[in-house]
Amino acid sequence: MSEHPRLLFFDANNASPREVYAETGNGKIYLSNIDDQDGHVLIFETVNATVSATGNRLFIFLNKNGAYLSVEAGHPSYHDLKTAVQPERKSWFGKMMALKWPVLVTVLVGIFIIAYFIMARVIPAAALKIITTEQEAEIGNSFYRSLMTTEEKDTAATRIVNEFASRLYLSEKYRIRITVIKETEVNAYALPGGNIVLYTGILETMDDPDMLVALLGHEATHINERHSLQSMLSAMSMSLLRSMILSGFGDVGSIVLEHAGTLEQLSYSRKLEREADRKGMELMIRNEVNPVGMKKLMTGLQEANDNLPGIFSFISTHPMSDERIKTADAFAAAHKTATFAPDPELRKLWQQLKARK
Amino acid sequence: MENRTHYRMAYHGTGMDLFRIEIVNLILCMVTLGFYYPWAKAKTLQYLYSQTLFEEQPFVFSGTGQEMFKGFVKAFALIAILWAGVFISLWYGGEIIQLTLLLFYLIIIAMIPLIIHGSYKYRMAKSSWRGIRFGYTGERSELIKIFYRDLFLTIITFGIYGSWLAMNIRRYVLDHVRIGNATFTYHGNGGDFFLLNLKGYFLTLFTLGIYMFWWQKDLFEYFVNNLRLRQGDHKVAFRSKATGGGFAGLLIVNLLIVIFTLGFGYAWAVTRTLNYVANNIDIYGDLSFDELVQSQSDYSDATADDMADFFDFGFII
Ligand SMILES: [Zn+2]
Repeated sequence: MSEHPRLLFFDANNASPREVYAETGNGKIYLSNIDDQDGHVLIFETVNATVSATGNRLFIFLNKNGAYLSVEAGHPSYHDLKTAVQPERKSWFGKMMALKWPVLVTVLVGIFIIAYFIMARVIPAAALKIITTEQEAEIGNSFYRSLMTTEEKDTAATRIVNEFASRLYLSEKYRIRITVIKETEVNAYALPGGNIVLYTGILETMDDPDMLVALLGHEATHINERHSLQSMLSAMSMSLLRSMILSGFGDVGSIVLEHAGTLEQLSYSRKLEREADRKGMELMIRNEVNPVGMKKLMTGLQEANDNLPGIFSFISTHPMSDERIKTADAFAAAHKTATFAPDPELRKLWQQLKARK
Repeated sequence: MENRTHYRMAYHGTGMDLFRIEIVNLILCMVTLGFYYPWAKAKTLQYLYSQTLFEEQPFVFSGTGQEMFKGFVKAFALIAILWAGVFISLWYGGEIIQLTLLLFYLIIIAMIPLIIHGSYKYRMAKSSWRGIRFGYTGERSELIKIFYRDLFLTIITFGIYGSWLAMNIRRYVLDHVRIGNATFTYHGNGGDFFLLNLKGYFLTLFTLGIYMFWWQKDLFEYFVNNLRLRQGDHKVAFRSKATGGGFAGLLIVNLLIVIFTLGFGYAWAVTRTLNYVANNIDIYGDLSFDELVQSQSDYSDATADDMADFFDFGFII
C-alpha cells in the first residue's frame, strides 16, 4: 500500500485511520498525531490491551470500545509495542496455547482415555454398588418384558427346563427363571436379576443333559456375578460418552474412538466369559455333574457356528475360541478321577424335553 | 459507479493455528464437562475474524466467553424446561405422546424467528471492522410476521413456497444489517431461488451427484452477487468468482483430509474453505470506507446465539 511501514490508529468513531507515533513505558502506550505538533497525546493502559497477529501485521486493541493500532512489520515502534503488550498468558487457554501441538494432542488423548475408563468402568462399577438386588431384578424384568413382546415362547420346553433348573443349585441370591423361545437361531443370554433366555436352536445343538447344566451354569454365573447388569450399565454410559464426543469432535473422531472402545470392550467381555466358564463348571461340580459337559457344549456350539447376526447372538458375544475349549478340557481333566452322581430326575426331564413336540 | 475500486479481502489464518485452538478448546471443554464451551466459541470466532483482512484491516469479534456463558445458561434453562415438559407428558401421557412431540417441534419452530433475530443482534453488535461496529436493526415483530406467513404458505404448498420463505427471511435480515452508517441490501427473490434449486436438484439427480458442486457454486453465487452495501449514493457490489470445478476440488479434498486424518484435519479443511471464499469474492465499488462512522449500538445478550447452537442451526443466512 505504502512505501514505509505505517502505524495506524483507529479511534472507533471514524473508520478513517490516523498515522501516529507511539511510545511505551510505565505500563502505558502514548500516542500522538504524526502531522500535528500541538502535543496532544492519547494515553492507554497496556493492561487493558490485547494483541493479535495477522500476516505481517500486529493489531493492538486498546480498550473495550474497539479503538486499536495497526502496526506493520518493520515499523520502528513494532518491537516496542510487541513487547509492551504480551499475548494472553494468565488464563488456562493462554497457558495451553503456549504448548507445542504434540504435547496438546497427547494431553487430549490422555483425557479421552481417562474419560473412557471413567464412563466404561468407574461409573458402571459405582452404579453396581448402589443398585440393590431388588432394583436389579426390576431392571431385568422390564428388559425381559420388552424383549418378550416380539418373541414366541415355547411353553412346554420352558416348563421342563425350569423344572430341570430347580433341581440344580445355580444361585444363592437370585431366583433363576428360564424362558425358551421358539427360534432356530443358536442363542442364549442372561438378563440382570435372574432371567435366562434360551432359543430352541441352542437346545438342538445338545445331546446330553450335562451340556444343558453347563449352559445354565455359565449363564447363571453371568447373573450371579452381575455381568449382565455391568455390561448394560457400561453400554448405557458408553452411549452417553459417544454422544458427548460426537457433539464435541464430529463423526469421524467418534467412529475411531468407538472402534478403539469396542476392542477394549471385547477383551473385557472375554474376561467375563472366562469367569462364567470357570464358575459355571464349579457349579456343575457342586451339582455332581461331570464338568466335561462344558467342553461338549463348547465343541457342539463351535460346530453350529453359522453366521449369527444380532448383538445378543450367542456366538458373537461368546466367541468359541480354542483357548476356552482347552481351558474347559483342563478343568475337566483335573476332575477325571472324581465320581459324579447327578440327580437322576435330570435325565428324565432331559428325555421329556427331547421328546416334546 | 465512477472511480470504482476493487477492494482486497484475504484470509490469513493457518490450519495449524486453528488446530491448536481447537485442541485446547476441546481439552478445556472435556475437563470442565462442557462448561468451557462459550469461551471456546469466543476464542474460535475471535481467531477466525482476526485472520480475515478486508482492505488490510481485520474483522474483530468482541463477544466474550462471559456474555456467551450467561446466554448459554439461559438457553440451557429454556431447553431444559422444554425437555422436562416432554418427559413429564411422556411419563404420564400414554396416548398423547405424539401430541406432545408435535407440540415440542412446534415450539421449536415457533422460536426460529426469535433465535434468528437475537442471534443477529448479538453477532452483529459484536462484529466490527476498522473499529466500526456492525449492527442489526430488524424488528422482531416484522421477522415473526414474515416467518409465520411464509411458513403457512410453505405448508399449504407442500414445501414449494419454502424457497420464498428462505429468501424473504434472508432479504429482511440482510437488509437490516449495517456497518456504521452504511447499509447492506440483498436482492435475491424466491422465484429465482426456487428455479435455481429445481435445476440443481434434477441435474444432481441426472448426473448421479456430480452436479452437486455446480449447484453449490450457484447457491454461493446467488448469495454473493445479490448483496450490496450502500452509503448515501455510494455503493459496493460483490461478485462471485467461484466455479463448480473449484467447489468440487475444495469439497472433495476437504472430505479426504478429514477422513484420512481421522477428523484431526478438520481445522485445515476450514482454513481451505475460508481461503477459497475470501479469494473468490470480487468486491468493488465507489464507497470510501473512510467515511464510515460509528453509529450502531452495542448489545450483549447472547441467549439467542447460544440457542442456535443448541439446535445446531449454525449461524443462519
Ligand atoms: Zn457368556
